[in-house]
Amino acid sequence: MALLQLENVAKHYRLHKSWLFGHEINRAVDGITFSVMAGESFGIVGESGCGKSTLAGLIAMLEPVTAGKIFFQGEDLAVVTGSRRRAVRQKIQIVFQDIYASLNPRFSIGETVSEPIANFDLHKAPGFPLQKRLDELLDMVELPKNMLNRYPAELSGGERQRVGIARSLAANPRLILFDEATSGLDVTLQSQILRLLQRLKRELGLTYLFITHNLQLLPWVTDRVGVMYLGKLVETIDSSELAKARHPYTRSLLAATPVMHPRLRRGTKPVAAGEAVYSPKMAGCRFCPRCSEALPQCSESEPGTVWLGEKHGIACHLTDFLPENGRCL
Amino acid sequence: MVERAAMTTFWQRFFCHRLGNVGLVFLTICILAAVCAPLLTAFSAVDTNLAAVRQAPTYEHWLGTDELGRDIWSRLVYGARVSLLVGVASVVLSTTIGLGFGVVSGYLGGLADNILMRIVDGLLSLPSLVLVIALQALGNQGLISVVLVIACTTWMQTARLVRTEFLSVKQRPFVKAAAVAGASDWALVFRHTLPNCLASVVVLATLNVGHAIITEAALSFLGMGIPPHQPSWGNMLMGGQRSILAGAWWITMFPGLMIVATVLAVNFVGDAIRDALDPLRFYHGSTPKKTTKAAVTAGNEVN
Amino acid sequence: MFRHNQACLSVENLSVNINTQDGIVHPVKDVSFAIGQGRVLGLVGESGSGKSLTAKAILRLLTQNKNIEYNGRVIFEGQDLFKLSPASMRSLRGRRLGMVFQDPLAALNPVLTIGRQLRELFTAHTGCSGGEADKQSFAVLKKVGLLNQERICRQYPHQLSGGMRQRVCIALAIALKPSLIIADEPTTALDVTLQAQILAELKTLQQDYGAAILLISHDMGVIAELADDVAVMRHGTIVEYNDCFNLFDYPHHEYTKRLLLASSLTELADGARRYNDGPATA
Repeated sequence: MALLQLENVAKHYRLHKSWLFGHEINRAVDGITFSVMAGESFGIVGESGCGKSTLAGLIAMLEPVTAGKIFFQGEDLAVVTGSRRRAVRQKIQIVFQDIYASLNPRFSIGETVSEPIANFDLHKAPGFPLQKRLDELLDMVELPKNMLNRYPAELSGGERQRVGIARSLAANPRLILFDEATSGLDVTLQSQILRLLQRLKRELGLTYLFITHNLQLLPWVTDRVGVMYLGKLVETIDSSELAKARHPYTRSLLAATPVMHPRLRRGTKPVAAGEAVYSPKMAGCRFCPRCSEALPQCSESEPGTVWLGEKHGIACHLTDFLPENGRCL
Repeated sequence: MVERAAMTTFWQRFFCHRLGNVGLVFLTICILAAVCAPLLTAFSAVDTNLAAVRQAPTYEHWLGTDELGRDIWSRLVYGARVSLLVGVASVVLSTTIGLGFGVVSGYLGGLADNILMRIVDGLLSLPSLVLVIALQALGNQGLISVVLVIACTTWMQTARLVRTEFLSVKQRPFVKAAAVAGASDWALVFRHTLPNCLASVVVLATLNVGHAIITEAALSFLGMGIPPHQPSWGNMLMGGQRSILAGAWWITMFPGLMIVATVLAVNFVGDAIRDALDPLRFYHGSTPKKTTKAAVTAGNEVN
Repeated sequence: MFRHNQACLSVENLSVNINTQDGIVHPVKDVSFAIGQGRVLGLVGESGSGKSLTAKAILRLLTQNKNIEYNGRVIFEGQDLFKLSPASMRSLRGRRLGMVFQDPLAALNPVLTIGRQLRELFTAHTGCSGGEADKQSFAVLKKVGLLNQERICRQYPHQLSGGMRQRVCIALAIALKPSLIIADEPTTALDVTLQAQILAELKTLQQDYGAAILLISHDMGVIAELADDVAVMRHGTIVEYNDCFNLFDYPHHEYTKRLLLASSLTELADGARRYNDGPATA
């Protein structure tokens, strides 16, 4: 049984458009289905506006879903209430991107990290050594112990991010969501933090849902990855097989990733033209306006997900042309 | 739980602010003087003495006398009681009402928020002085009435400000993180969101103190505030207007100076509170004159 | 590599000293580099390395107050920029020196339409008529790959998408055909596909106009994509300065090696290998 399972999850926002009563529906997340096994690291990659942060908010129970169901350890998150809901909340924690605002500026580090412990009554267990636990948490994220009395304004970006990780660990979670957790960091810091995350996952047996816009990270920190575009999951693939991705959007992302050596420079012609623009009147595949391989049916109907093999799912009309035995396009 | 070290550092930050200290000292002196008024004054603030009308400052009457022969120094000291009371009490009251309204509106959101804010907008659209006069005329005269009326006509600005700040702070990642970390709704509002909205509220409150003192003066001038024989800086100012033409500048000058000095002092203290409340501002400096090393290395604005 | 006497921009011993509450800070210490005509210099470094401050110092965009002091020389097309008057500096910026900044929304005036901003640029520097300026505006917008130039000129910055805004900023930078463009993290705020488009755009423009570019970035990938020469900055000094291919193949300084290693993420290989042993089944 999967630890986390999403079935056709959708989140729609109503935007007031015309002057009196008119409104538009922004389908921020539309029909997402995937599951994450315990101990796995699942990546979600997509550009800005694709709905990945909204998805993180839905899984972390910050907002209710408009349609579809999210199951955590078999329980439907929309249905759990009261103390059961608190228990589930404890098991799902989130680390945000560090802009200066992911830590309350008026709380010291000690207060921030001990907040989940207090909220989930973890300190009420008999003989619970609070100070020792705090020291232990800071140790796990490689921060010195004297940091407990400092304030976020005194810390650097990397240190603040470690505090955010320590806060999420304080609740003893099973699943941690990383919403662009390393995006604001320098490249050497990013490397350190990712190594820390790898180590923590191994030592504590955690499950990760890693949201990012940077494809390069994926093979190193995730096992499988889902590619999102304008609220839809267009491809799900094993991270080590990323180079064999089929969906035109994934291929354009791969082609757009900056090269690692000047020798590998591309020509001056970019791969994916235009920008991701959502229009509520869109019928058909959402990538169609930018797709270089668009077919007539792409603008008419939305493609369903086709599974090529156990771990590779793709939502694209081009799969209609696959021979029956599922070999390459 | 972990000791809240915030309060000690708040005061440490507060007392670092030079101008704030100056303002605080000034206000303390004023308050002490007002309280110990009988000890500091030789003459009555109320009894008239038509023999000594409009005397310039002398050894006997330190600041001179007004158009009815009353000693200005005494009236100034006793007037401090009224003006400070009106200024501070009405602002405390209006800020509290405004905070409550704004927090409720921001927390509820949606339709309720809309309705509450339209009420505020409606009240704001009424001209304030007319409203003040109308309310005062309906109620009974007197100091308490003045305080209540001024409070009831100025809470709306605070409410709007609080509601806006609240909505914006609510969206910040650390509030969402606190929600995921299991904080209850009450904790989210009062421990996380509200404290971070207070900075602009403090600034508005300090501005309102000056406004309150002047409004009380206007009311007294129109005969709707405190009785005219009782001194307050505002009504001394208003009452002495005719005397300026007669050359008696001291009647309006001293109360005027006191109002200006008090408003300035309150503003300085407000600045100090605002800076002390916001640790980020404290470390990165609110005054553009000298940036700190931390600010430069963090790549913050050198401009 | 390059020779100083052919250089479009030559920076010699540039230092910026700032007088702060904690004493004197040197965010930029003794920086020297040169950009040849039509070449791209990539200035790479992490946050706090002083690269943005270097660009601002060259452009004299730092406020002139008694707390900030510059030393050194910046020779641009034979003139020492530090010796120019503010008025001549202003006329140089835009005409001979183009600038592209990180945040297009902050760089564009939000209350003026795009067309108006472009027109002002032309009329202020070349003194041509409004109609002529409009024609040239359309031409330059077309050059940066924007279609519907007329519609765009009528719009305000907030009505455009992020990529279009950045293209407009580039258009403003190249409009008067400058010989040097300073691009400070031009693609950092953009998505990866947009970044690829903008970088391709810059490459095309550089080839067409023959302008030199000072490209500032923290992303080694962007540098690898575009730069001919690379200068690596750390704590205000240049620790390595080499031709792009040589730098990537044979880095000398420890910091450069660390940057390259971190960018390629190979440090994570050890942890990842244990990852790919497969997840536990529940």
